[in-house]
Amino acid sequence: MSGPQRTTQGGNAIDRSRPQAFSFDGEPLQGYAGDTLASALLANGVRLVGRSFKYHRPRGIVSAGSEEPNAVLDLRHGERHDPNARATLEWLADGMQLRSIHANGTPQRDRLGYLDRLARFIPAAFYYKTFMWPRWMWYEHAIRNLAGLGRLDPTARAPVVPRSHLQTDLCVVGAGPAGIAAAQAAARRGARVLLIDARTAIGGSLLYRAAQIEGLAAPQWLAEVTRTLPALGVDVRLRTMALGLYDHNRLLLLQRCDPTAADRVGEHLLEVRAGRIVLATGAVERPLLFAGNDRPGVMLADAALEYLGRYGVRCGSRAVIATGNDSAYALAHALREAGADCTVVDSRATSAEADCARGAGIDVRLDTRVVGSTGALHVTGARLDSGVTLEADLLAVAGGWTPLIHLYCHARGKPRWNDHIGALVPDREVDGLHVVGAANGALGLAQAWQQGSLAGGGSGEAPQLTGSVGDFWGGAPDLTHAGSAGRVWVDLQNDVTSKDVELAVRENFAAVEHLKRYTTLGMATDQGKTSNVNGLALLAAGTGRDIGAVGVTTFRPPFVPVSMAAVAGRELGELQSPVRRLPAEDEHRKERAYFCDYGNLLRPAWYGPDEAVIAAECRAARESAVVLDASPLGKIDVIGPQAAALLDFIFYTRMSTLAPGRLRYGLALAESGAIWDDGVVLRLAPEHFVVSCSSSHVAAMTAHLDEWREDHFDLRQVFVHDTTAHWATMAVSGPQARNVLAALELGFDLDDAQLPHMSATQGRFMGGPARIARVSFTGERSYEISVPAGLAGALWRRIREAGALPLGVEALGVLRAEKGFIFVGQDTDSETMPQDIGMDGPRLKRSDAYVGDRSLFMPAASKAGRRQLVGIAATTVYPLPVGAHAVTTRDSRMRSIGFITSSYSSVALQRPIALALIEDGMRRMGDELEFEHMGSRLRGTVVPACQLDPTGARLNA
Amino acid sequence: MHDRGAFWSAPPTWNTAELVGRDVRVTVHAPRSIWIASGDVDAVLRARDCAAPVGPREVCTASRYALRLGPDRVLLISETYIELRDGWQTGVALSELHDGMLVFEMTGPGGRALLAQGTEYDFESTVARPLESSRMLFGGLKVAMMRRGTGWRLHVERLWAPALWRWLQAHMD
Repeated sequence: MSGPQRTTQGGNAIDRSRPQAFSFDGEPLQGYAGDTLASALLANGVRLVGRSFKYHRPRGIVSAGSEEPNAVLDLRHGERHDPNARATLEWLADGMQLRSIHANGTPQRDRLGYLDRLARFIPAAFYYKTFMWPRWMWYEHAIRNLAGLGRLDPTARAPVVPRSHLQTDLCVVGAGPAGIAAAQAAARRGARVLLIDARTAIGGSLLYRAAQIEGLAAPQWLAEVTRTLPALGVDVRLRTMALGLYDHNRLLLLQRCDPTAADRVGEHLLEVRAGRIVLATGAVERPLLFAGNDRPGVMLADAALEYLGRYGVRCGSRAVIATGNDSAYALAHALREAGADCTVVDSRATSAEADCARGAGIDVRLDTRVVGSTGALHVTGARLDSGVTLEADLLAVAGGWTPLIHLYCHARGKPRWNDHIGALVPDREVDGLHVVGAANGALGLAQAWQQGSLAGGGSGEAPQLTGSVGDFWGGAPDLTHAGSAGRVWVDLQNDVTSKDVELAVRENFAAVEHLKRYTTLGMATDQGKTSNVNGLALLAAGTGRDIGAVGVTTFRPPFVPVSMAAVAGRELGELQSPVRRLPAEDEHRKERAYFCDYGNLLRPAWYGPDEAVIAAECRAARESAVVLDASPLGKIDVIGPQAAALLDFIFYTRMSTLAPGRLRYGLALAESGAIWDDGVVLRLAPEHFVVSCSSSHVAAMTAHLDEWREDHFDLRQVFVHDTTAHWATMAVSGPQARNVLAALELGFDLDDAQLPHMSATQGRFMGGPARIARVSFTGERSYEISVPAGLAGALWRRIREAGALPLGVEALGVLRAEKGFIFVGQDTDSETMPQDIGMDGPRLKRSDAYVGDRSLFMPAASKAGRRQLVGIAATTVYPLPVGAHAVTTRDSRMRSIGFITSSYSSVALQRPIALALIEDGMRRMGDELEFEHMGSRLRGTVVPACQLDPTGARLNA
Repeated sequence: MHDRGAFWSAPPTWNTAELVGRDVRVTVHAPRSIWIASGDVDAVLRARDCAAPVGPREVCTASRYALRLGPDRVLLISETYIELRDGWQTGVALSELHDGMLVFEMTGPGGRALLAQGTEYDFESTVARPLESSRMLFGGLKVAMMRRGTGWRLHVERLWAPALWRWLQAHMD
């Protein structure tokens, strides 16, 4: 036997031949394979599993499922560490180390237990009223230390488990009787069916409640169904829980492994796209409201029955069962059969089940209620309203049932209050979704089966069934003793009492959403599964409304907490946010390139051990020749008779006037008139253009072109192809660039008359085609050579052998800033228009339509005070910080008139340079401005953006 | 700035790259020609002896095939050289993409499970979708997918190919 509370027989979930050793708070214990952590602890007589969140009250296991509010433990097993493992949802394995959380010391002797005695001073929302003076932050650290659940171990590593996708015609959530009926019916009609359940076996409540189906006892019938379902083609996944239901019938499932299995893999996240979904999620039992209803040993009656039936754990030897419905009587019979003394305290005046129980020799007290519990660290007795106190080590409570309709609500379903059964049930239908069985308020086994069968496309005809209890639901929460002396706990995980709800109502937080936030009722990691309806009932009573009129808060995914490891799956490290890779990356690695990520691209920042080499790269560009791997620059083909018209419409500068073989720089504007991107357009043939846009903007530019093409043009007359990946581009730049090109023998005429600046030609490289374009982003004579990407490495090597030095992206930034060439998005913002960077010509000359044209003539586009691009000649030794604000001071008030967008040390100019967006910057030429940056003041003079070679003489040097 | 070259593992050597898992094998397939064609593509395909374009669900075994990217756009792939010229060709826009794409060939019974980790696409559905594009998000990347006998071919842009290869490698176990 694995513990004092374990029965000698029974327990259909456990394998008594496979004992599992574990520890709780350092004490060695033993359970069986198939045990949950909760059942193993209960079997070993562990009643106290931790302390409560706010008042540090002793707490024990309450439930057997996802609704558990108390038993959240720190779990370590091999490499796995879960600081907030829900004991009712985790299975035991050999070597597990469990620890209680949220106790300062041990759960038995919590040094913060005194907080419970201060409860009257720290009611709900006390922190909204206190700690305001002098500042909340004075107290924050201490308060946060007191609050919270488990603590993360930064050294722990969760098992990395893949996520996967699944498609099915029908997904049935919950394998109780209604779910089985739906799955069977759908599978028999030939549908692909996925049936999931959080337990380790199908059956739901049939696994521990007696029933006869088709002449078989529930266990035999389930064994038969377990065998036949896969034969019908039903994909049955156990230990699997639905976390959320999203648009278009998309379900997120969490599949847990059997930790005792040799190939255990942790948690597995499954995304399921289902044609239809059947929710057969059942219902959870509600606690009763009486003073001291939170003591360890006070437990849901259904949970106590499940522990006995599924795990062979007798949760008490002297039990008092407090109920207001018939569902709890099964526990009385089962406990008695297991050798426990048992008294049923039933608030109703009559009950057929009571008569039956009495007939079996069980002590039943009708028209009686429990008004309180006794005990310290665990329950020792139940006080009745008759004045009697019954000795008890288990106080099982059955306060009615709450259908689990969370997933229905995720799909924007609205619940309604059903007075007859005293529960929230689904109201209107949601397309593609069926809620069946107890989740839909079914009145017994036959109705549950019928609903399931119909949802699965079956006839709805139920087999011969017995086992339903008479008054299963029990009606609305019983509030008779909710306001009695002592504290009556509503939300066990967040320590919310009935008095807290009363206080919220008194302070006019009487809307359900306000109540939730004021008291934190339902906001804990159990999402208030056991507390919400009791809270609503109290709110309704306090405000004089019906429960149905109070409304409900919104249930949001996930249904149960899910680890970040499961969400991430294997998308870690390199897989988390992959970058594009250059075709010649191997060559750059051989050149000792220092790589950085630029706009989802891995590119050489510089070549050498540190950034000191940037200056040398800049010098080489101005004095000899350099090569930059410009492969990621866009190469978007725009082809067709209307290609020129499309580009005229997209670009601020007209492209239809380009002659074949010529290039033109252009700005693409947003509809707001702001500069959206820039690039160079090459006309290869009358009906074939290539748009070379910013490296990081290729996908967006392709989409931009396609979007306007579809909107404005004949779809058979112009097409857009992104061929960026096909071409590798090396930009050779510098006074010696022509010599380097000559050495490459590309088979074209290098004469400037044949190939002037902003023109292009074709050549051959290693048997493949080569495009050569004279275009410069450095201000020096430059050639961009594009060859098929497979030849990228070879071209790089040949250019290096021809004498060009490698140039990284950082040095390119300096060279272009010396020339005043912009990086869109860095030197422009969402308001910068072409005229703000000195490109006013097309705006004044063009009369045809183009993207953004209307906005360029709005009053705001011409008003004084627009921020304009200028250069800044710094009077400092070091570059001005990017982001530093140019300020003016009037009446000792500082005002920003612009900011630095780019800033570098210029080797060519031998001083710091910067680009800035400054209000009326063009009119401030020569002015000395003051810049403010994090408390320090710096100075710089406004100069033209182009600070080097303003005539462009070097382009042809 | 940190040197990100140390973070990102070096791309494989494509002509020898191979991934072998328990029930699945991925190799790099090297077709001779890849073109993207838009417009009246049927005429181009007929003239080049290529069957109608396929989506991700249709099984294809031909050595010259066209993947449907859109209603009027295909990726034309051939084991043998195709004589084409890029630009405008009377109703059709053509661009060469041979060096811009890499093709991964996935074989083995474990292929379906591997694919299920990367895409929610339903390869088993029997509902015909004749205009469906073969391009889909796979492992977060744009991939044009084709069924090849009992296996699959994954067509990916060269710049993203190392990322897809790394993804396949990580998800194979």
